[in-house]
Amino acid sequence: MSANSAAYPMERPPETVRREPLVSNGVLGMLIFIFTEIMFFAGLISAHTIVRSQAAGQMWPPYGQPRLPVEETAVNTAALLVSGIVLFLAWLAFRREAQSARLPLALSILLGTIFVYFQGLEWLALLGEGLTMQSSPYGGFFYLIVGTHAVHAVAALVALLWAWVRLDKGTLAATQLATVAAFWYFVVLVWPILYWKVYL
Amino acid sequence: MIRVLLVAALVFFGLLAFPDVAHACPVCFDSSDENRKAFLVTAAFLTVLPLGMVTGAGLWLRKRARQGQGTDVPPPTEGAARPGA
Repeated sequence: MSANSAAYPMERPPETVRREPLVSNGVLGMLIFIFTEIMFFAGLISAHTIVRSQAAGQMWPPYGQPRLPVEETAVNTAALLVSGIVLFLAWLAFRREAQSARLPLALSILLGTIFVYFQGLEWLALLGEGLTMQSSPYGGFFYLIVGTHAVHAVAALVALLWAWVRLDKGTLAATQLATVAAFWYFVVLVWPILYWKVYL
Repeated sequence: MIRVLLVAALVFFGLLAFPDVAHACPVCFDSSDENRKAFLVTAAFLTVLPLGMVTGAGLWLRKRARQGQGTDVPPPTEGAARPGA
């Protein structure tokens, strides 16, 4: 019991001016997180750009280091981009009828998993060819940048999977889907930039 | 407003009076032109990026507000008791 209700026992409780939020708390929190992550990746890309520029006139990749699989990763990149598009379709379907988003959401998760899986295979092949974190700045930056992105991709896939389970149970809220979708869009959209800077 | 503009102009032309390069970055000098350019480009990139993101977020929120989202819930009707009113 507050002092006000004791002082005005017969009156209605005080009205509060409530303002609907422009953005849900989840989406806002995710956007702030994404902003920090964008700056993190921007720092990595900048460091990579400077180190690479120091090798101007020399070979890049350095002599004796394996070449990155540009074509295979391009296909993988396409799978990731399609995954983002399918997730957007899932969002549209969710707005029409929640349960109709199950299939596109599952497809998006599947495409994202394919991306992570083939990236893992690529890592194993490169390690086998002698490209390690210690082998050269080239290898160090490759594993740092691509590995950081892979960690984000796995985390976002777990979030999408969580969303799919809730959708299956019929308990997924639109704001929850928007929050995890924002994370996945970040993972999808930052990758082409990383591909361009690291692979090409 | 005019006063602010005058102060801004004074600061601007004051800075022009000191055209020496500010050697604030001890690692930004390299004999390689490519490397120097990379430092400049990345410095500009890292400066503009957060400003762009904050500006973009602000404009997006303003657009949403103007589209009618985030409006006030209707105020209480007249006669509704309010402590202290």
